[in-house]
Amino acid sequence: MFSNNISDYKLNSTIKAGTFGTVYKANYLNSNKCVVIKQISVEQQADKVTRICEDVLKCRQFKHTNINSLLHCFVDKNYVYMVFPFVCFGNCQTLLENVFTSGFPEILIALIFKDIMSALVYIHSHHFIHGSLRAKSILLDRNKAILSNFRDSRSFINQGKRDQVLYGSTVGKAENLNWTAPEILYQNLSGYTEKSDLYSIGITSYEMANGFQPFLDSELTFMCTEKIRGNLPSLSDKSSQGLSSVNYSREAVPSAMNNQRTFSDDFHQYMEICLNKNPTCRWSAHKLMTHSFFKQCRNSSILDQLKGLNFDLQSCTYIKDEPLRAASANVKHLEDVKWCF
Amino acid sequence: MIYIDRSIYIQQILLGKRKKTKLIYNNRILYRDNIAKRSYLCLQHQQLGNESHDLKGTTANESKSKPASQPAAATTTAQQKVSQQPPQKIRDRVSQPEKEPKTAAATVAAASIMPLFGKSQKSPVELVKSLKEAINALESGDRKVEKAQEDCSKNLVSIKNMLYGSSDTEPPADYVVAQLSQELYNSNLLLLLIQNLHRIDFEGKKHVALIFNNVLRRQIGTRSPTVEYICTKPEILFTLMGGYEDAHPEIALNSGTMLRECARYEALAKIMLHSDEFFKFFRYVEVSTFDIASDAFSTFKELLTRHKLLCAEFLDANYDKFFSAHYQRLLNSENYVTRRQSLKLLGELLLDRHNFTVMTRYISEPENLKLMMNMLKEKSRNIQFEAFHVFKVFVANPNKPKPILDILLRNQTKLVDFLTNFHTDRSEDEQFNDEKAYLIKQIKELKPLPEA
Repeated sequence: MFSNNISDYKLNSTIKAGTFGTVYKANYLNSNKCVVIKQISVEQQADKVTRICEDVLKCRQFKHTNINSLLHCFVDKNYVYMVFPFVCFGNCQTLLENVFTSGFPEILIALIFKDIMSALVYIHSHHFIHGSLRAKSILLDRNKAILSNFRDSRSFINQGKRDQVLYGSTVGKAENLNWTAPEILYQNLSGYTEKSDLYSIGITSYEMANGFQPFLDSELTFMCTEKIRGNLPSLSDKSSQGLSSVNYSREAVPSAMNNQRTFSDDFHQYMEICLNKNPTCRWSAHKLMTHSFFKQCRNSSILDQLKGLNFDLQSCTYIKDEPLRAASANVKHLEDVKWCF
Repeated sequence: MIYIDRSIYIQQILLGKRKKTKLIYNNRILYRDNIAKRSYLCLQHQQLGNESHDLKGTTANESKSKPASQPAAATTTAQQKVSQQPPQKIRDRVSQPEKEPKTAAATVAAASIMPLFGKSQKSPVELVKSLKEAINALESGDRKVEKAQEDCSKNLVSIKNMLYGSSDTEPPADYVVAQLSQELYNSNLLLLLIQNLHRIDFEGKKHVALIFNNVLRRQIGTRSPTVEYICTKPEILFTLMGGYEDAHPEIALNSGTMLRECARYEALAKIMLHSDEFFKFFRYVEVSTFDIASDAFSTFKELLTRHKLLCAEFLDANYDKFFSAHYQRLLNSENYVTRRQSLKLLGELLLDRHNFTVMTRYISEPENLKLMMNMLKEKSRNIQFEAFHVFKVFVANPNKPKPILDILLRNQTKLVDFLTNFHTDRSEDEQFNDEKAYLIKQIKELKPLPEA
């Protein structure tokens, strides 16, 4: 159990300072456990506060070794603090930007997605859709990959009944559209199912292998028509060298290294299955777990692979140890007004 | 031998000393012994059960339509049961939509013939029975706790899948749900599950909530049998409300989802509002564990706003206890989120026209005005803004009592200045600006009452 008092936590460094809130690396003093604390101001509009409540309740839904769990959540003054376990390598998007700039090695991708797939099987079996799978939502710990960010997750269970398909718009999800499955983009009456998560898995695999997201610089309409036509983004390796297909990238990846490596046929096939534009032909997460792409995981683990790459915590310096800025409360004081009763 | 259906009946044969039972379907013997016996027992149970509304209705229908043609078929006990049908059953039958009547035995037979529910071939009756055993074992806390825990989760999953369908099967037919709910009522399992919620594992707790919510929504025509059942067993509600207690924080959110489903029904909301447990919510919504407090608050709000007339009546009758004794404390809470949410809720309650008498009473008490005026100059801009929406009611009141008028008059110029500079950046919020202008005008025009 964690305490409800922020003074029981020692905030060490700022991991991220965004508009939504500040994320700290911290120590829980009572057990000296290393945790991540997300500090969110509740001095916001009412609907945003409601959203925070919903997010917290969503985080509480799942318990799985490959799913980021909310350890504790409390209010102190004008802030809500959410306590998460510390995941040492952070999210995969940051890793792609800082360490694996030309993509993860294939075996590491297989290992990571094996973990993510088992989390996905769990979520789907509970009739939920993750909704925003991308490298940013995948955290990498020393020995496992962890799925996080359940803000866009949705449940099939509605008012005591289970719906067969979900409907919904993509409004307000602009930043995730590149990963979104075509059947969601259609926004038509046939709706979408948990298979849409598998499409996002496909795009994320692409992102992890090539080191950048597909459709990065393209227009939204281009991205949409390409997906609807079923023109798949392809892995850039030896086999794609001769092809002059659109590479959906910012600088067509000239790096010689990308063209020298080879990804296995299994990987190519696995990507094709995920990126099938017809959701009924796409495999379910459960079935995909048995795909031969994951065979290479047998005699290996994320820990071994990271060791092999000489990649350890010390080299992970992008977590800046900036001095903490004091939580500033720039609120206008109105206490000088005195009522007389 | 008991006649049940045109095609299904159970035969009892005495073979030597051993009693053998077979289930006959379309003149074919389908099962002997155990399974047939179970379905037979189930049927007998259905007929004897004193609360089995709808199934008994259909059985009665069958028995009535056929007794002449098969007079020898029915045993004396069965006939007695038929002749003892209370009038309620006929009412049930009328309220039930016209559809193919399915008997209990047919259900059992269907469940046994085809493995409809994945691996498990257990019928609802068996599931409920073995779940009950598992829960009892958990409760007694023998050394076999782990085994009981496992049984419990397994049965809960089966029941949940039966109600919702698993990911590759369709949701079930009505009669399966009917039989399952019937069993749940008769065995008193709902209460048992809720009382032992903290002993069930993490996934099991979620399944309990899912099962509960599905069964609660069940409808036969305009009736909601589960709601009627819970009305006769209000302990279920009180136990659920106790789920927010500090003793078991892990069950709070599960209890919360079930409570909010219950609050949708006026009959259940009434029981909850008028219970002593309701006033404990003032404590629950104030805890600093954010998720539990905000869950408790949404339940609290649901209870107070869902059924307007019921709530108005309740607030009117309990005005002193509710506002003076308890709500005041929420408005002064240490917890920022609680303070802000309760202030917002107060505004909503007062501005609801159903609560007119309550509002008139609230805005004639000078203490309340003082509190709001102090909140207008809180540090937090959002609290200022919410306080404004309560404060405006005091000023807009055409018949201000003397103490209220006095306070406003004493602060007349200060208030005009204060309001003029109040949240000037909300220029796009037209309604707010109109209201502010109106308030300023009203305060400027305030005049002391003529001396009597």
